[in-house]
Amino acid sequence: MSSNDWILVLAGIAAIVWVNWYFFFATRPAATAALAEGRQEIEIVVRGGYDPGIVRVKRGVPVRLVFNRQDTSSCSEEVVLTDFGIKRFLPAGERTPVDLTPDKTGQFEITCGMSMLHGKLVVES
Amino acid sequence: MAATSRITIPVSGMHCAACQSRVQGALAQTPGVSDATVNLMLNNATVTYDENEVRPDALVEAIKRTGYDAALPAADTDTFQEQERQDAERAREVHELTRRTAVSLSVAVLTMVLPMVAMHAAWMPWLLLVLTSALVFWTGRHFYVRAWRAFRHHSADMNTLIAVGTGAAYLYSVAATAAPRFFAERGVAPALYYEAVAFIIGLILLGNTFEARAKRQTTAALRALADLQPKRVRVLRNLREEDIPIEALEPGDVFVVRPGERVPADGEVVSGSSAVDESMLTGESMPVAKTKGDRVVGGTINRTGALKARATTLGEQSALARIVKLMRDAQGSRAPIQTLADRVSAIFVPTVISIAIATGVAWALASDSPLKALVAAISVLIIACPCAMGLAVPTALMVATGKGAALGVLIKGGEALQRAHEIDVVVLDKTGTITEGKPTVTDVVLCAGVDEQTVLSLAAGVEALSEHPLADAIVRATSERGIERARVRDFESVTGRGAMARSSDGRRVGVGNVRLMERLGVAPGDSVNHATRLAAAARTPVFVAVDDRVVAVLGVADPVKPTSRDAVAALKGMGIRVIMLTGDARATAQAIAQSVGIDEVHAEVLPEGKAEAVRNLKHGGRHVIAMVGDGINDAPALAQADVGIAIGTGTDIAIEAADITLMRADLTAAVDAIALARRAMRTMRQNLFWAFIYNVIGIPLAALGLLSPIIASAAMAFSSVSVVGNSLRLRR
Repeated sequence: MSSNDWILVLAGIAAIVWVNWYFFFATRPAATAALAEGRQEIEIVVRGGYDPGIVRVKRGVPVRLVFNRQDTSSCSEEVVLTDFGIKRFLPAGERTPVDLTPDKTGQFEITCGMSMLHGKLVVES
Repeated sequence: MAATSRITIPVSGMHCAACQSRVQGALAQTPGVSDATVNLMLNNATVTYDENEVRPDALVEAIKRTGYDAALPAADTDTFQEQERQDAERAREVHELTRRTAVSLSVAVLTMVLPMVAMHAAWMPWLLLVLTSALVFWTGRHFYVRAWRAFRHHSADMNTLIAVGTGAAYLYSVAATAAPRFFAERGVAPALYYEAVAFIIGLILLGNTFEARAKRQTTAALRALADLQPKRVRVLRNLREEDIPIEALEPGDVFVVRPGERVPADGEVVSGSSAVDESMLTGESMPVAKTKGDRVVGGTINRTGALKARATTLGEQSALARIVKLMRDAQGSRAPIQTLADRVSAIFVPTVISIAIATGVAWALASDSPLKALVAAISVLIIACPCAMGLAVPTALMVATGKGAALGVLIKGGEALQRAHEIDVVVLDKTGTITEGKPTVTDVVLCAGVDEQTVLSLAAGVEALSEHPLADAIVRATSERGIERARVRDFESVTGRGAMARSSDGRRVGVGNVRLMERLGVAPGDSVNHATRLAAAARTPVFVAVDDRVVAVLGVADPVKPTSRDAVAALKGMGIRVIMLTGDARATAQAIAQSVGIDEVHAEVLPEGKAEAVRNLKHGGRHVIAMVGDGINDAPALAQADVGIAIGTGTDIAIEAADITLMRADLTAAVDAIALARRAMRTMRQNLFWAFIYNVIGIPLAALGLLSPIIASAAMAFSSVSVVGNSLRLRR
């Protein structure tokens, strides 16, 4: 193989590593839900993904996640929190509150109906 | 029989735990209330009550007497409105997609035909650039926008694949158009791929359009149900008929339904009589006769006569709204079989991008042609279809639950459906499930010089205070014969045995089975022979004892439903073991079991023993047990079973304890439910198989350079359409 070939192979490998790092391992911005009137509330913008992608909450305190869907892709029309048995339709252009009270700590997936968009609910004690 | 209902009443003015317990206490003391929970945070009270004993407005009164304010939930139609909005959004999506598809495919055809007409015209590449740009920046714009948004969130989806694939082809073509010499100098043909870009966008949009249309059909059943809700209602106010919007209807209002009209809301008939078609809710095609005191359900069609009815449950609490909500929840739920698809989806797109990069590098090395490398990599990106996998299970679930509703079978969700398909043992409750559940006294065998009138009078006196279905039969026997019931005191009910009380002259009267006689220390003597004879004829023998003598044995018969025999045969034909579970005496149970073709009978099971019996059956091996019974008395057994199937009617849906609710009180509905679950699971498996296989075969073919990007886009578009189409076959 010529040196050009080697460069090509290395560039390919680098690209693959970067793709997998970016989609699977890169840290995403996290936000902590604000506590008001005994409830932790945070707005999550749904726009090709969840923003913030990681939401930190305290265990045992009611949580309201307000999903603000600014996206008309049918992929994002539902939000699913499997661990809490929640599946909700999000009308486009509207804020839809989803209430839950986490009774266990850990990391829980927030996904769309087809499991393509991903977010995380981190419950801390 | 008790008709348990649950209502959530908003309560205002509560500030502390003390307020909470006061309201809760007041509700709990209201007769007919079995459970009351007051939630201080949500400012509401959730009350479980017996509809026959107490009305919702009495509950509101009870709360108001404690000094807090309460009102029945407004008759809003949220469930329907949400459904309408979702439908409208879908319809808009289909319309928009259709338009974009038409434009894109027309342009795509132009990009193919024009170069043939004027092959070497210098302006041709520029014309193609303009045409294709129109697609990239208008009809296909959302692919790029969504891909970019997803990328910013470190996620990737179908749009990412399309955007990267077409984007690469488009940028290469633009470069080749703008600077052909740059390519030529390096020995690379300045090839143009506008046509591929245009066709990929057009075909994928076409696929999306078909998919959106098919998806609309998967919710058609739900939409049909939501459409049953009339928008207006004619109420009687101040002795005049007024036409008002349904939202303005209040509990207690009397509304009028003319023949041919839909019943606007749940209610109790106060006058008139008619036949009402409830098939849309129960799947039962015979109209049901309704007269004063009967309940009517909103959304059903009044056929023959005019009815006046008093509104009972409205809005979110109405039977129709609850069914729509249950179905929507079910359609949105997930089947465990989907877990695999979910796992694959989560890593799918980045993996495909990695494969595409590797493909490009490999082709560049092998062929020394960057062009071939690009084309192969693009084919990989385009043919990979995560959508088919994502759609495989949910679409089948949606169509199956919709089909179920049309059959009068409400399935709680994907998990229930998946478990139902594995059912290999069905446990049937006898009363009300195999039989009509309306027992009548058919025989009165006198034993000791007491006349029939006295026996029935005493027995009915005791049983009037009991809640057992058999008790009801005895009470009715006296009213039908015009016999006055004896007055009794010191009533005591002995679960699983019967009841006893003292007559006005101080004698002890016991009414129940042989175990009650044992308990009372009464020697049954000869009466046992009568009981045996009655039992062999499928009658339930009921002993009546006065002091320490059996004075009569009553034979109570509960006719077997006409469809039960066929249903049992159908279950057996599906390879399912059928077991009957009953509190009845063994001989009676055997006789009934035999008449419907059941060989296995668990008789003389106490009510609390039913759940235990179901649990024991589970221990007996690796079986999936379904319990079929009514949702109220059999609730513990239903919950204990792997699949709880509740037999309800349109008005009385005790959904909470059951995985599956049968809207028609008929065992053939249980057969339909299991058959449907089996078909649905087969469809899900087929869908998943094809979605996986499609990618497993398609991606390597594309990587080997055997598929052009245009063919790949066509295959990709139709793989998801075929999955939805396969799911829609469940409607048949």
